Amino acid sequence: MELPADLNLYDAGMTSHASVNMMVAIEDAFDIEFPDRMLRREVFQSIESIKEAVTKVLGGPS
Amino acid sequence: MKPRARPAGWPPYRGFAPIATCHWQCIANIFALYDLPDAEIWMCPAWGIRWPGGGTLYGSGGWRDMLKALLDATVREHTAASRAEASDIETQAASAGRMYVPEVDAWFLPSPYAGTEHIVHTVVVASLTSDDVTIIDPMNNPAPAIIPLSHYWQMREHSAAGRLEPFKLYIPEPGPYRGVEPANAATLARQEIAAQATRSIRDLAAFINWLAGTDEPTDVCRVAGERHQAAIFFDALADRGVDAAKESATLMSKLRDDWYLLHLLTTHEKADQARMRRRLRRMLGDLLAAETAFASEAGAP
Repeated sequence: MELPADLNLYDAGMTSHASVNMMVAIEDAFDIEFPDRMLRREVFQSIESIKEAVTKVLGGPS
Repeated sequence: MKPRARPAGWPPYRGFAPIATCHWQCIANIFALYDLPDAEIWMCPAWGIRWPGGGTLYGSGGWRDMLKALLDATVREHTAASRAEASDIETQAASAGRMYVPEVDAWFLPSPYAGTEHIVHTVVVASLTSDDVTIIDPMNNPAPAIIPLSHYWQMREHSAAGRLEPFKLYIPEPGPYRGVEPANAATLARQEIAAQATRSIRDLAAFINWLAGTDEPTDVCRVAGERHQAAIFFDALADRGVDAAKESATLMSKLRDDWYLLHLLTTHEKADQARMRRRLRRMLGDLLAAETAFASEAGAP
């Protein structure tokens, strides 16, 4: 199943616990550490917002 | 006030209760049956932190004393060393016409955890006979359900994540309860916070120091639950015109969110890995500063 990049993942059924699983998996995959200020619901609410956050942590343009 | 006869009907359904707050929802629902419909917003005027050592951090635990002072409501808390002892306590409560709130294993209830996860939950027991129990699970299934006694004791006895004390249950004494005057509630909470502040900040600092030298699992869900319920309390005061509570409500809302996030992180399977431990320690350091600021604001005379 393909998800639109702007789909609200929480509306699609993602729980808080699942969002933490995803956050940890992304950190492992990219070998990064999200700063604490990014550990907010809105940062992980869509593929688009996650991509933006990862780009910022990697030092790229936001 | 003379205790009222048990009203007809069932405690009302109140919806979802986040981690470590379901017992308050159940108790508030029983209070609501005794004509205190907004009971859930007053359930936790308490704030504090206790750390007796080890990986579990506790809230103040003072909510029952505070409910007595605020609502003139008595909630008795029991644990039991055996099923026989627990059964005696429950039989006595049911015979007296009391509804009560036992901890159970959610694995055995129709819920998202049914057959998948052993996790502690609470329900309302509306009646108990020698053959069956009528329970209400306000969070997952508001309809009263009659279950065989053997099934009930299975869910009472089975070990479950989050269960620290055996056969725990709460028995609210019947109403009538005193209605809440928001200004008095604010004064009561302020005095309690001032009384708890020094010990609480010291215990949290000690917990953080302990965490720096261990990889043991940690559990902060009781603090997260207490902050969630306290945020409802302070929001209610602010909404009811207690201006002095507005800043406290704002600070408590942030504490609620941060403790809940910390709780989620501590329950993750990678919580013992170096990166996550660094994060937990860092977040706890921030929470120490935030709790100190809250105590100064909300406990100030």
